[in-house]
Amino acid sequence: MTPSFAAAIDQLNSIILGKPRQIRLALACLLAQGHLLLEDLPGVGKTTLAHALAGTLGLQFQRVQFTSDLLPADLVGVSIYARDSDTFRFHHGPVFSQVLLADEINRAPPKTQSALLEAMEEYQVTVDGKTHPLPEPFFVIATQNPQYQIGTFPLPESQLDRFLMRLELGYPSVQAERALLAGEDRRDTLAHLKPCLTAAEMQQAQQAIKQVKLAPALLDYIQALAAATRSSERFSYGLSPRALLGLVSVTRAWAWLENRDFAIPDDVQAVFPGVAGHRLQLRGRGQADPRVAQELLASVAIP
Amino acid sequence: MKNPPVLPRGPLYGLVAAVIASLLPALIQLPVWHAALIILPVFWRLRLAAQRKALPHWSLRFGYACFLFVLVFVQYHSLVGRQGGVAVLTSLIAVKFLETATRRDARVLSLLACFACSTGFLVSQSVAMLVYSIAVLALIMTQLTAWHRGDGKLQAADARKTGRMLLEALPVALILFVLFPRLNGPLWHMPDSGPSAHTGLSEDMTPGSMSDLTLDDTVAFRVDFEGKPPPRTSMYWRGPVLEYFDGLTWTQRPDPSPPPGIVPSGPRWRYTVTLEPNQHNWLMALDLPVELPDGAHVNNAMQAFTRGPITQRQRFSVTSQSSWRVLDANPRELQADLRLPAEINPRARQLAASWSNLPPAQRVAAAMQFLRTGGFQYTLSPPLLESRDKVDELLFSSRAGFCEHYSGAFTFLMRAAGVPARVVTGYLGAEYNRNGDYYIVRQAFAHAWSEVWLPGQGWQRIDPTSAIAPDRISRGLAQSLRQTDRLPALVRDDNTAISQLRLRWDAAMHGWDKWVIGYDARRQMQVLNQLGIESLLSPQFVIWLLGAALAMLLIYLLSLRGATQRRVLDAQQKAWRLFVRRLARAGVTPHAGEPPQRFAQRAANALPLHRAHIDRIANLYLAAHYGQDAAAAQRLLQSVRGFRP
Repeated sequence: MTPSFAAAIDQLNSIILGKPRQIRLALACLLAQGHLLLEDLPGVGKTTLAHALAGTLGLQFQRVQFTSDLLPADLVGVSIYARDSDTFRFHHGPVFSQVLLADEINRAPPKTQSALLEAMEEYQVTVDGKTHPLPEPFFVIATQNPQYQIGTFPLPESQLDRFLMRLELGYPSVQAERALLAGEDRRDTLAHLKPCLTAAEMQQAQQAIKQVKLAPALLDYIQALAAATRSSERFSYGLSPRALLGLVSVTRAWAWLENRDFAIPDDVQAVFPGVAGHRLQLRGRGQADPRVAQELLASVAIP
Repeated sequence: MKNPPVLPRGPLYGLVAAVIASLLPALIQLPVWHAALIILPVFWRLRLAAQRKALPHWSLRFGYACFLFVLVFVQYHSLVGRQGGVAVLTSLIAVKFLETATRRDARVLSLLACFACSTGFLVSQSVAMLVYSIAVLALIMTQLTAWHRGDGKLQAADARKTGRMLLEALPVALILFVLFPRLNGPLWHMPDSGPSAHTGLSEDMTPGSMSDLTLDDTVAFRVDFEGKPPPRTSMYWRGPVLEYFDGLTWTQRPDPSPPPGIVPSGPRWRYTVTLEPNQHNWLMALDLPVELPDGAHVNNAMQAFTRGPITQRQRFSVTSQSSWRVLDANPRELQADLRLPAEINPRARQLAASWSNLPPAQRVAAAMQFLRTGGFQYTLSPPLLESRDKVDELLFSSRAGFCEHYSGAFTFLMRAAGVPARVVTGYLGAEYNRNGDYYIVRQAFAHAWSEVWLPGQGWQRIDPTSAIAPDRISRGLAQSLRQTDRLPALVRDDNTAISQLRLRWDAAMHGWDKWVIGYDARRQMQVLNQLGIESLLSPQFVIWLLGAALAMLLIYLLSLRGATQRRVLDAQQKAWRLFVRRLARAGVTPHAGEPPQRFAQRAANALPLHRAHIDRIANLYLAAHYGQDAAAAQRLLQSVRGFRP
């Protein structure tokens, strides 16, 4: 980890109080070049976290509030007839940004959701037969309310799978909440955000993460975890190879953030609930909660 | 003790159930109040666990243990032996609960329960006890599995796992049961529970002493003959010779004089006697032993003795001859064999006096004639002889008796008629076992006969029973008795379903006794013989044993290899295991699935004095195992070796 990343983490911690672990996980997710899904009740700081992440990483940031009448064109952009040039000109939608905050993604209708998800997978958008590449890097930070809330369209499993990690913030601790209440307005703090990283530093970090060593014993462990999800009768299906690739890259990013050039089982366990939690479906009961991932970790021996 | 670690209550209940189940066979032997006092600490401990209170001070535990010791001593006058020892063990295990504070203690208690479980066989060796013990063992193992797993909740999976392990252990147990060499010596044997009602020949003879024996079908000894065996009518196995009569009881007359010189004649029989353990040093030999093994000798009444009491099965080679003549009879001894208590049995004396004019051989014939024609009955349950003149009552009024009655009465008559006579006890006949080509002599074959001294011929064997019940001599006991006599029920010939069932049950229990309880060195030898092994020292047996051991080892290694092929431990893994073991000894055990770094942090928090060392080891291990740093791997082992929390 470079000093500028340490500074970035410090800044994030000064905005989102008492959640260092979630901040670190979110950062690991972005370093692993994955999209992030924040799932929690309204008002616990999801949007603030997304905003702060974009600001701190020095990335261009757009925010879309998803509603039930949001159309794909609202997101991607539209071609509009321009009288002066007598042509249709494409007006870029908010998706053309480095960090897109898709707030309350599960309130949008499926059609709009899939437009976004296509962009997330392909890193490009096709409108009127013309393909428009998205900027580099491109991250989606989506937030969603838990699905038992009224008026939501739950994301299907295949689309959940596009998100590298799902995180929950949870209520802050008593001290953190007191500091929050006593301190200055969060909107002011966000306004004072200064970027801690350059695009070049971000790219270097992503290269460095790819150099983090994975010992055979650690790969054994990851495979044992996958085997446990696949053989367990509790889950409808186990983790996919794509999920394991994601687990490996987030594990590397976490190890790098821990100042190590090799990954250890502790790293795997730290990121596993975030990577696997939304991909595991309990048989007959829908999505697994994070405790299931913890139980799985407790049941698999570490080679 | 400050701040004792609290044991999870679920497994504690499991432990209590297992221990109480294992102690139950011993507890039900005790009076209720005693058992209650012994088991009290267990419930005390449960109550402390429920209230989350500290364990009692050591002095209290020690005091209670002493109190229980005193109780046991008062009860049994001993702290060792079968009953006292088991009671002490039971008490100690119960008190151990009061100092069970850690998981290690719980494991120790589980092992003690296994031991207590085996003491059930001191109470009974029945099939039911075996089944019970296996059930208790399964219970102990199940809760031990739960303790071992760590989180300490009893689960159905633990029972399944235990069941599988017990089933896997079964073949090994069976192989060891059959093949493991059994010792013939008294290295380990059932401790006697005080003076037992040992049946067998006794040193004296009173009316009833032989007839009681006829109900005892245990084996007295076995005989292998070399060459042709004697006919059944000659199978008189000579035991104690009784020469002193007090009016009721015939007893031996202690006489240290050397045996008389004899001239044997008649057919010679060479044979090997295998004596079952008994309380005496009598060597049962055919009448009359002429060659004895080293260490054995005969007394002046020609009874053979071994050097010491027979405490385990022993074999002796003996040669006997059917007839013999004494060269130099001691007149003083012959005089003693005429002695009778004064004044009793006047009618018998009168009868004997009527023969006194005849030559001695004729007097014997007359007495036998009297018995043969007097209407005497041979029965195991004669009417009780109540008068002072018991011989008179037998000969002239009750006229019913058994060998001990007739040999006693006949000897009395002979002495009264002036013929030196004595009673010889022993066994008559033998049961041929076709399977092993040997003879079995049971306690039920006990018999008593007489010897009379005839001038010029020496001692002559006269069996008065043959005059009354010739079948007893020629065909055996069962044929010579009346239907109403007491005999083991199985000898009787009924065909009801119930008795058929009882016969089958008896056969099953007999098989159990024979093949499981009675599977001793001798029977093991028989089994091994059938496998083509001649002795425990023979090369075949060593090859068998080594082969079986190697096969088991191979199966084990193969299964190990199959299951954990990828878990071949390298040096740093071994070092880490050692580190984890040492931490476990210091009280920090890894949770299931706990990653190494978090475990090390927890250990460092638990043992703050060793924080630096623990951190160093953890970092070296992680660098070596996951960072593949060879230098770290080398330093790791040193670091772990120096780690002694």
